[in-house]
Amino acid sequence: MSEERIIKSLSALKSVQPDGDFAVKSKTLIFSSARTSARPTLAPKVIFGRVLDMGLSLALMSALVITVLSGVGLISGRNAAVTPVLNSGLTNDASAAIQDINVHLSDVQYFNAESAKTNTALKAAAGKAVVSPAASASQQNIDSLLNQAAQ
Amino acid sequence: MLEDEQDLVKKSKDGEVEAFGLLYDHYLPKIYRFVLIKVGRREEAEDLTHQAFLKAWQNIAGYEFKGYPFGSWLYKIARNTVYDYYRQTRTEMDIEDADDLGWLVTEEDAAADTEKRLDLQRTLESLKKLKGIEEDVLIMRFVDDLPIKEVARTLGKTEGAVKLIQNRGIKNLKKLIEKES
Repeated sequence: MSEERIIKSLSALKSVQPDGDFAVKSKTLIFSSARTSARPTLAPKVIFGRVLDMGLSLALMSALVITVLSGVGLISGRNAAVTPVLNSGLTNDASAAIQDINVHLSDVQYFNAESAKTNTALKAAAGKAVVSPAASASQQNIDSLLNQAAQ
Repeated sequence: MLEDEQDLVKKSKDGEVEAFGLLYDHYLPKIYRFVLIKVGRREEAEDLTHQAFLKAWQNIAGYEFKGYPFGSWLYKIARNTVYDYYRQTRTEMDIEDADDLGWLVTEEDAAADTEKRLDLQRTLESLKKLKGIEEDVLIMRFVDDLPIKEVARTLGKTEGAVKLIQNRGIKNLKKLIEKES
């Protein structure tokens, strides 16, 4: 078969046509489908604009994140700085309180000891008073006088 | 190229169904023939042609006119649709299956002489054995009558490369037909 005859054969295929029903059905289906919005283009200007937009967005986002993080850090830092001061203050207060308590305890012990001594002294004094010779003589005198009166 | 094609494309991009309908009516026979000759079965050709136009409609917002007919873009979509189909199904067309060539016999062909029909069948059988790119070029150039420039644009080749592929394709097709005969 010559090349011309081959090309003629290929050209004869031009008579092939799609079915009319298929064309109508396909078109109806296509138009009932949803369309997407504009596809992103690769034009340098468009890409530059988008990169710039994205860069600005990222910068703003980073600034926001940094602000939030530094705020949190600052608050944490303050706590960290205040805590030792608070701790030392509390320790000092507690030490002073303990010292006071110790002093008071010493006082209590002293007063207790003194009280015991006083009590002992008072008891001793009271005992001496009860068994004094003058008191016993007068008691004997009273007794004898009472006996005599009874007789 | 269709008259006021760019205007129709612009209106289609704005969502005007009627405008895309005109483009569809103009390009459907060519795209359908291209797909049918490549896949060989009418049902598959209809399905793939529909898919190609659907993709075109859904993505027309991204189409940019660069001095070439809208058809170049459609052929590109149709070609990719057919190759995707082959990749997915991994089936080869059995051109020798007489039932599948029912579409080949048009009313005009039925009245034609047997020799002409045999020529057509041999040509198609051999066309399927060519390299994909050679087959594409021969269909676009001799069945759909696309100019070299448009074929080059569609295939992403230079015009010189398309001419070379066309010449090589015809020679290879001739060898294959002679071998079959």
